[in-house]
Amino acid sequence: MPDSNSTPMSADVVIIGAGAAGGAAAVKLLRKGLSVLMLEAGAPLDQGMLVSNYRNGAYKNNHMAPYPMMPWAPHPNFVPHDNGYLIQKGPAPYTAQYIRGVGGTTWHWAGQAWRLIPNDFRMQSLYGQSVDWPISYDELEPYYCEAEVEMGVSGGGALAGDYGSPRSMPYPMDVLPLPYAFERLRQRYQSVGLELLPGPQARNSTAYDDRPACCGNNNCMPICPIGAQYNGSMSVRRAQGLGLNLISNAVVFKLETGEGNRIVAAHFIDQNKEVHRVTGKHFLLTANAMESVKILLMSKDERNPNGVANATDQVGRRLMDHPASAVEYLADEPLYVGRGPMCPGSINNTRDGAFRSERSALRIDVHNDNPTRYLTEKYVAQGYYGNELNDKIKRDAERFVLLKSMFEMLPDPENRIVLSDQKDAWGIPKMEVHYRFPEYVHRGYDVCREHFADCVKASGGTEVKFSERGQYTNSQHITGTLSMGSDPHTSVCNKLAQAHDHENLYFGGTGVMPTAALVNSTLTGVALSLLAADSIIKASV
Amino acid sequence: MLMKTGTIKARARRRALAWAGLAVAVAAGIGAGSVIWQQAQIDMPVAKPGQGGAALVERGRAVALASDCVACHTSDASKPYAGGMTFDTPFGRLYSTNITQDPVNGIGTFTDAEIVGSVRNGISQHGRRLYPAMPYTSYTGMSDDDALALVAYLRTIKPIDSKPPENTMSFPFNQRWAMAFWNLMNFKSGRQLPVAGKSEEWNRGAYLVQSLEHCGECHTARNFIQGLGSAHLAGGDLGIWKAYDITSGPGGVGTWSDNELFTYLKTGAVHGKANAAGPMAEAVENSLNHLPDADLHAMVAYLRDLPANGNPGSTPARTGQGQAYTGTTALRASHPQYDPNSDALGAEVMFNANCATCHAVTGKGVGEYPRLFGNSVLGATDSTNVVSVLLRGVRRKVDGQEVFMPSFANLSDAQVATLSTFLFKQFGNSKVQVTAAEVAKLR
Amino acid sequence: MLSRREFFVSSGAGMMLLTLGAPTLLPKALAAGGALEVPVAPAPFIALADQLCGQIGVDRELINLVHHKLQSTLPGLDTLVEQLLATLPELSAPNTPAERLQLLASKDPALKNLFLRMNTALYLGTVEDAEGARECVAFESVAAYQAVSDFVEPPSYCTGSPNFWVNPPAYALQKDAERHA
Repeated sequence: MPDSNSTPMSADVVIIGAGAAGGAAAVKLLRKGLSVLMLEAGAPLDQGMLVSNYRNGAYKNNHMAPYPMMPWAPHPNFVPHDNGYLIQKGPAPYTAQYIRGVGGTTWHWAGQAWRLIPNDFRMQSLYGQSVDWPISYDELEPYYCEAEVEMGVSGGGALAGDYGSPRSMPYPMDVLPLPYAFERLRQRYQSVGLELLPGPQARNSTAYDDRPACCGNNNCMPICPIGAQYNGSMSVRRAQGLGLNLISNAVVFKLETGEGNRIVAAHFIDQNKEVHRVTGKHFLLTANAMESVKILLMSKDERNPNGVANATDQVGRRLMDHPASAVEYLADEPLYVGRGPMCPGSINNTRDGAFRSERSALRIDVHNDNPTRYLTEKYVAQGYYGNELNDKIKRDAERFVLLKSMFEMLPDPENRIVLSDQKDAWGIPKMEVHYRFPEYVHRGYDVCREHFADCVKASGGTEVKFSERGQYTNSQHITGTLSMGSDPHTSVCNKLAQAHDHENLYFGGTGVMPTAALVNSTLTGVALSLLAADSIIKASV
Repeated sequence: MLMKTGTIKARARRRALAWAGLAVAVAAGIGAGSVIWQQAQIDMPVAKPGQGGAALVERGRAVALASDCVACHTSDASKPYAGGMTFDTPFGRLYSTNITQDPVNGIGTFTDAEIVGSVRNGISQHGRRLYPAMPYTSYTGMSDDDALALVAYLRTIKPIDSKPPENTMSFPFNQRWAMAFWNLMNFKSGRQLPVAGKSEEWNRGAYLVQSLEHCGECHTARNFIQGLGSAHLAGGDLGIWKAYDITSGPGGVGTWSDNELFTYLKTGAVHGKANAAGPMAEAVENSLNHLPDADLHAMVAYLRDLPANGNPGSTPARTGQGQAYTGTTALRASHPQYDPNSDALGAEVMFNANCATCHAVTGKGVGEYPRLFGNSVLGATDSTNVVSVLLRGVRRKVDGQEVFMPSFANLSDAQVATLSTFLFKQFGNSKVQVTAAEVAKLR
Repeated sequence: MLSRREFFVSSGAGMMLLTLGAPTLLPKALAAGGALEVPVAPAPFIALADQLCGQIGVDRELINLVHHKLQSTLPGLDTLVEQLLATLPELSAPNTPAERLQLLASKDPALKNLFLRMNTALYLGTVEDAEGARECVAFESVAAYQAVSDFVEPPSYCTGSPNFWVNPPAYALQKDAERHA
């Protein structure tokens, strides 16, 4: 509860959003001797509480269920019904999930910590599709290294090497070994030219950062019960040890501009509906790729009639995610998925090639989620009971395989977030999302469907169920809305992650990515946040 | 001494007593002085013909391992033996010294006698007395051959130019010469000799336990000025850790088999009974794990023979207490709220959310994650170690295998107290209760 | 995090640790004798639950809890239970589970409803009230996880030491050994 008499309301750097991106940047800035004030819309979150909430939960298939929603900081929720916070304008659904609370959305992710590959930065030059980044892989590489150390990433090894992403430093920890199921599938998928590798994960393979090694609780989503998987609260806590001033339950609704169109203050409303103002020399916006957009669009003033950083109406555009399709089946041998981390391996030799000029590349995650509840719900509803049910659950759970692919969305300016007229309980506008899939993605689906069929065949699959063309689920990799680029007419920030229009405003997190590529975005989002922090440090000298 | 004054006889008697008192004082002074003088004599052993070379260095490495020099004389793992480890005492802070061969900050300029004197007499170069944080009180038993070997090994340690911080002991404890008087009361210099009538194995064990591994420095209670007391290996207090009674009664290790004791020393873990944490984890990791099996069996043989401390009939066994927890089904049905900010947070909710993940809902453990009921720390009458484990976690790396329990210092004092009390009641000695104030003291 | 050997410690510390605490130090749940007091379910309910769960041997406490929760959301529960118990022998006749459900519905939709709700509660641990609000009444002890308990624990619980997942479960190794014997 902020009290302007006792809490400092000013710092060298004001960071908005206490997630992985904000937390990692705060650590870096504090180590360089800058003072940091961090504002978080939601409340502090506690691991024990989240574990308890999960185990008590009635909707265990909803990864958002354990996360309390504060009335002043609502988040989208779609199970059991759409809570109407994120208004879907279509034509395709964009059912984003994110957490507003200290630590952010990395409290419930699968921990996959991929780097992009060099070609991902040059889609337009190489393939005539999408856009080129204003920076190269090599320029981002040092920040990838920093992000991996901050988060504790395990990866590489004999099978995977550098995954096609050249490295100047070894992985902080050795790669986690593949589960038995994945070893078996690896061998069988090889026969159809698909290479299943152990993935890089922000998950301890040995004790690291005073946190234990993964012991396979298979609950990465929604909550790692032992803290072996990284989440943003770990960086925030480290930053607090370094002197971070964190104010939670602080919903920023306006960035105030001043002379030279510099940001002079951030205004927030707290849980008692009282309004406060903090000032800083530099501002770093890391409130995820949707809420950051909302703040910018709300910050209209005479200098910035379209909102802060939005002179060219690019904020919130180019909304991307990784559309996902899936196949589930029963293999012809017991595999025992559900043992180990949820997403320890994937097929990656499909993520780059000349074909990217014609259709989306893809990557296939082999899922290791315990399928018991999913299968049991199905079979109970079908009318099974007794020993027949028990035997079927056991037998099918032993053989169950779920593959999920991700495709590369293109940065379409018409896919965007805008403010709605509807307001939440604290009077803050909700968001509308406009979203559609291009043919580029559907053509990727077609190729993926063949790969899926090959996988099924290679492992003697039965009871096969494919998801439909055009019916893709959301992967929670929100990108593009704060795109980095050299042309202000098609981007929001420059190669320093600095707003084109505002000298002291910087962005971090996945929204800065101008292309989605084929991998989970978190590591790149954190690396970009560290790049932004570096820009601030250089500007502070 | 009060006396009636007045009568001539009384005064004469008083004079006589005064002279007698003075005589006693002088005699005591002379006696004390002679003991002090005697304790300062460094018995520098002389090498026998042919005693030297690689074999002696190798023996010295084994002596250093058994004596666990590296654990206290290292604070930065990349600079072994360069000192700098902190010892917080009620009288100030000490730092361990650099014992690499560096001539400026280490012991490169020490003579052999000065090294031996440091180890076996607590007297360093230039007569500088050491604080008994350096356990010369145990190392004094070290044999001549071992002392020579240790010197030879120390001479091979790569010089590291690292100066540990200065001690910050308060007056008068920073007056090192005053250690002479402490030694008078608490130090008996001299080699440990084999006991006639005991086996070679027993004697080897006795030598390792008492002299080199210096077990008593932790496992024996100290007197009011921190000298070792007489209840040998019956348990010692290290503030935030308790070193348990390791004599042969049920309150000690009487309910452990020989093989369990051996396994504990070698690996730090005995399934269902014990897991070394804190200083003992380090002792296993740095020292005991590296001893030859025969040495460990010898130590067991010696420990087994120690008479039980106190009255074994009235001391409960530390192992085998408590039972599996069966309340999870009922707990889940009531879906209790977990408020991390509440000091009234329930024990069973906390146990399920924080402990049951690894220790299983019943407390029976999974894989290497220990079983809680029957455990010798939960079965103790003293709650220190349970609370310390909750606050600090456990970390041990033995034979390339890492054992790790995270710390739960994020819980409040009251929460730790509630949880600890529950753990004792359910899985161990049900009489033990823990208060928030006790937890606060152990942070 | 780890302490080092400490000397010169204040000798009084140990004495404080064995205070005789007031009864309020005991956690409330234990003092009250358990988190939830639930009456034993009637015999027909228990018999029905056992039949629905087959030979898996479901937790007795879970059965009592499910009865307790269902009672408040299903009027006439005990009568329906007896009817369903009587109908069960007929259910083995139809070939498919779908036919089974049809048969139940044709006798009485409430029977099908009870059948599904009991299985949902016993296997998945959830109960819905009249408005469709769902409550979790069990998780760790549900029959679904019992069915797979020899190869995996319920999510959020540890199945073994780090890297245990590299191997298949023990019974699979044993089967393998038997195959190759």
